[in-house]
Amino acid sequence: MIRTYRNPLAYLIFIVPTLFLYGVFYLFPLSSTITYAFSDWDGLSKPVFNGLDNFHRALRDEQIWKSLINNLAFTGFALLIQLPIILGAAVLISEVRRLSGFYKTTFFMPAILSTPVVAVLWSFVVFHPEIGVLNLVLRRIGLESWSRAWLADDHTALLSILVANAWASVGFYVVLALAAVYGISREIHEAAQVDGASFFQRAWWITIPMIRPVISVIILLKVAGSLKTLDIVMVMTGGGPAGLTDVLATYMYRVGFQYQESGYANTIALIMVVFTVILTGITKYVSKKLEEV
Amino acid sequence: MLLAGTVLSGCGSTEDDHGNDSTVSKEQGGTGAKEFEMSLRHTFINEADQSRVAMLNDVIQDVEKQVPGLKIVTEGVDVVVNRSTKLKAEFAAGTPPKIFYNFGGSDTENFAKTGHMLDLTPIVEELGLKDKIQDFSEFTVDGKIYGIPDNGYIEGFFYNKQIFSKLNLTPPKTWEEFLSVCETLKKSSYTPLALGAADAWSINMIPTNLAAVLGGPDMFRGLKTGQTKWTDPEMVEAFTKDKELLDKGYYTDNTLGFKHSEAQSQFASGKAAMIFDGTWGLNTYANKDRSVVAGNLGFFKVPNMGGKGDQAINASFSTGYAFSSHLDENETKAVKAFIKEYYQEKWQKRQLLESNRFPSMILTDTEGVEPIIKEVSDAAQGLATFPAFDALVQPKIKTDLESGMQQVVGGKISVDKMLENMQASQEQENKKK
Repeated sequence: MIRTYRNPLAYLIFIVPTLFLYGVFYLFPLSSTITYAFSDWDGLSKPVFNGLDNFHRALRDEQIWKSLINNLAFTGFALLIQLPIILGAAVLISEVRRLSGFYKTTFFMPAILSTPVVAVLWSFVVFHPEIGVLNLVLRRIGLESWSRAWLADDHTALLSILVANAWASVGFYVVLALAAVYGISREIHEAAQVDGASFFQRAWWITIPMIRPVISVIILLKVAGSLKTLDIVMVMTGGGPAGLTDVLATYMYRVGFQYQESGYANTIALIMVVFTVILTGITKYVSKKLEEV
Repeated sequence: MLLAGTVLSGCGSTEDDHGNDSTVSKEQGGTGAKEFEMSLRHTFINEADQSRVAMLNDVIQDVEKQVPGLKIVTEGVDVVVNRSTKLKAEFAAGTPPKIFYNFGGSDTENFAKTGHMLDLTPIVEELGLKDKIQDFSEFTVDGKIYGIPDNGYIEGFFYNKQIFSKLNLTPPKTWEEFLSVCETLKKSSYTPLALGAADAWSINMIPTNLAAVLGGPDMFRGLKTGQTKWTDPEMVEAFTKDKELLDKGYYTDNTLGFKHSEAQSQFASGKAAMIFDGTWGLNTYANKDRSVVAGNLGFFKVPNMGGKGDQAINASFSTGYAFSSHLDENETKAVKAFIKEYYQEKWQKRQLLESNRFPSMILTDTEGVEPIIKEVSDAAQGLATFPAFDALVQPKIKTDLESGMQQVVGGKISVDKMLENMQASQEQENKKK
């Protein structure tokens, strides 16, 4: 065994495949993006280097900032609404004696659907102005004035997407958190119960703090994921109406494929990377600070 | 390794075999002809397009019989994905499909510039198609022909004859008559005009047609050169009149929540009395299985507005087959055979009868053709034609108008401001290259 470690050939055989994948699927596209981000390119003819022009344009481009705000809306919704639901569900399910399997399955089921399927489902079944369940129910209970074209209305379009997204993604994280909750030793809970702690007190003071590492991971994944969002927005509204629900990725897609400005689209991609690094950096810093508390 | 292999194999395109008769090559097998495959990309994947696929497969069978060893492998891709993403990537890489269904106008212009598209001028001359095809202009770049249209479209108002006769209405001949028709329809609880504003492109059909009727058929051609502007009075009048229709409630309620296909269903189901659309819509409206209005379909062109374009109609021949320029000797023979076989009256007539597609070739035999087709061609008789505006402007202008009009429909910006923004955008685009 030790001889294997000393043998350089062995190292090569184990490292080369991974290095190859890493190079082809990560390093090469990244370097392409960086090259094209500094050029003027329509996607068909030769790219022309144009220095920092694209970046100057990005700074003045209103739509980029509007899209970023929408991305941050995804982040905010994930942290302020999804996270409590995830933790609440995990805590509740862990306390249940019978049918815990049923609850776990119910929460997890939406997670097995692919995102475009979720998007189409919610667009037609729930939010459609004529055949959607939401409007149907509102009309039945006499609240017809509240019915509207949910995905086309300024006030409700983004919220509708956020709700559909939450429905699909919460399940996976509930199962993750649940696994962590099951890892807490029962004796601690029993001791607390003996001391007279209520269910809520136990959940807040024992369960949640003890699964802090998993919560950090969930937050990190949510934050990084919110900046990457593309498919659910693309299928539900295409970024519309008129760019209202645009996220950075849908705007980038439009710039690259409809405006035929692939150079600028690559610039937007690079900007997305920068924002992701900044946000995850902040998240990790805050996490660390809280852990020290 | 396994992972790499699986991932890389997934990168290949999916091919579905349509109508490739192995008995054909067996017949030719005896002559010892070398077998070769050619790729054909089409966009007929919707339920409504099945008759086009069937016809294509029949054409392919005939072509394969004529060229020994030839096997054409077809691939169907969604039309928007194909033109905006797939073909672009393939042309950038220099590996377009050998035969593919394409759009004229800026699509052809951009692809032709890459040099990977076949110049068809000599083949068209050789086969004598110059006089048989009605209009090559959308596929001509710098005097060379890069594609051959196989059908065209005419745009105008389709209306439900039953609803009209119930309310004693006749097709309006002037704008004032049109407004009064809309008002009567609205009072009788019909949606006067179906519109699916979620598909932003469909919003622009009416205002751009009005602008061409007011300002003349060259209204949009002049935008690239600066001869005409988005802020010209005729343009402002056209878009303002369209806004008037919206403000008076003549369009579908909550139109921003519906796609064009849903608007088409509203018309086909009799909820809406009129819809502005192209003859591509006939596949839905004239289809007795899909439409209540099928036997009662009428058509009228944009009413006269006292402008320079009163004698013009929106019509164009902008879709057809194009070919890769990377062809060897056998493939070139196959391409010639394909063109010779496909562009014949018999297939044009079949296309017209089965999928209501307007022929790009002049038909001498019109027996059995639906009355609505005759009504549409009569309406277009003797008029000058102008293509859809997006064939004449840069892609960014088309997208800007789409989002601009969605904002107008949503009440977030005035028509004047939107047109000002359009002109600024146009001037910027005109400066490029």
